[in-house]
Amino acid sequence: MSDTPGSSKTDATAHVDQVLARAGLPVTPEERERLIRVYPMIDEWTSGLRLPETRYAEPAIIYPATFER
Amino acid sequence: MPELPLTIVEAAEWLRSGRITSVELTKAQLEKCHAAQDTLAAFILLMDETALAAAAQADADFAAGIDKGPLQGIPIGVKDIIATKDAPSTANSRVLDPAWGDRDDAHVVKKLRAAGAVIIGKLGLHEYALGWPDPDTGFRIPKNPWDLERTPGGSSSGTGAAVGGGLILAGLGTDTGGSIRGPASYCGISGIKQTFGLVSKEGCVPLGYSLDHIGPMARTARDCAILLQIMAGYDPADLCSVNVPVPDMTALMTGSLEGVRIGVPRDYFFTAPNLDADVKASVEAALTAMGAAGATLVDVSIPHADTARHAQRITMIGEAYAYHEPDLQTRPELYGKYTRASFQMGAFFSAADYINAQRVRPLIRDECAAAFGDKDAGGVDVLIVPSMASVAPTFAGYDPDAMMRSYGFTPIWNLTGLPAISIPCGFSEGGLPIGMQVVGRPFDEPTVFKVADAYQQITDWHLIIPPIAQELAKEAQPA
Repeated sequence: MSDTPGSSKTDATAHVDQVLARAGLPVTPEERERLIRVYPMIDEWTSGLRLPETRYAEPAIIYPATFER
Repeated sequence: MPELPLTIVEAAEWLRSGRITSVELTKAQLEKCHAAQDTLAAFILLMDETALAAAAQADADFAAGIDKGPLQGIPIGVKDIIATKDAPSTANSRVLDPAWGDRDDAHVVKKLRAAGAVIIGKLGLHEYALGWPDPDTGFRIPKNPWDLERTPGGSSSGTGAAVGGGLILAGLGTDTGGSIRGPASYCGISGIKQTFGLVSKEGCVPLGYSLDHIGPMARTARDCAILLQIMAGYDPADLCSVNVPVPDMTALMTGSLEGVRIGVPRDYFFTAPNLDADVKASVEAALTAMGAAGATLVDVSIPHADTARHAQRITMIGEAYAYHEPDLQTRPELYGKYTRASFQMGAFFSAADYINAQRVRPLIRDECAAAFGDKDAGGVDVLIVPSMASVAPTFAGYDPDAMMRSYGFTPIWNLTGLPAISIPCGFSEGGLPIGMQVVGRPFDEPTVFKVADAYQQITDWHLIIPPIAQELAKEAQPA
């Protein structure tokens, strides 16, 4: 969602519908309304993770090349 | 003098002195558990038959001179998201395939049984360890033993209610963002989320793969240490398990705070807008008491503490969404409405969002390392912060979205993997328990327990039990 700027109601509605369709998630009308309502909060969370300090940081994902578990 | 032992340490002494047998203790605990099902509603299932058989075996072992250690003959509960061979596992959900639980014990349950522990039942929880209880799912909703109109916290709600209500001496919880420490705080007990990887997660339904922990909840820090000593250890069946020596969890418990250096990250943890004045005052009073007992308080800083809660939430919901996606697509109506609403948000995070959350983790880890400093050159031994921003909220008026917006003090330690115990440190003006976290360096649980235990030596917050526990104890005298 982070590549879709804007947080107007229209943007949120369009984006929520797009995401739900792509994900194949059936939702009730109340759930759709709620997702539209919390969309700015989700946007704030994801935008907040784009920090100058981590612009070139490696993610904390470790996948060692080993057959051992 | 309590009618039944209040702690594992006490019960272990009673069992060895002949003051009580494991069968007597287990029967009395089961009686309390059954009696409280209509009030505290802590258990999804009570396992009378297998528990009493295990208790009889523990007694037979004592009689034969076999002593497996402090857990022998001690009845404990298991959060119903952790597999047990003699009972189904539900994750408090109509979604989980019953076949999932048709298996052997989870790794930690095997270890606890091998140490002589008596598994007394499966404890209630928030569905799949997330969300908020939905009465429409048909599961009992555990209540707070200090006020039945309030939540015991979640997601280890049943464990918090049962231990706080004196139904059992200890139980297992799980913690992905505070699900052990929240209920511990709200119910006036102790509970630790140890270093990530120290305890195997094998046999536990996942929530957030890189954040999940199974940990102990009990009356005291010492009891938690006794349980963790058994639970810890490398398990190749868990990809996150770390192959390090298990330390002696009680080795540093001298009861003294002399010379201990405590870091206090005041920014964020003591300045969050939703931090209750009662909570702040109680933690500040605890710090003062610890300073008077010989500890040195040092102001430290974790500049991106607020970012950590967002990174934790995106990681947790993203990982959970990967697990739940097929069920959300095909039978969403089986989830409770609050759980479904939380999981649905996972569809809104992109792969880049998830990776960015993982890029934030090393930054915050480095800031925590800087806050701790060099242990041999003036660094601090532990950090102390509030556990929860408030006392237990009421069930009425719950707003899941407001909760997601609020500042939290527990998720950062899941994101960084650092060990953190919640211990009681006071009561609100309204008589509800308040907890604080003692946070340690990676794999330095012995220092965390040293500080928590020493605080519990100079205070008795952890020994104050709610009226409902006193009433249940009177009715359940051992035969």
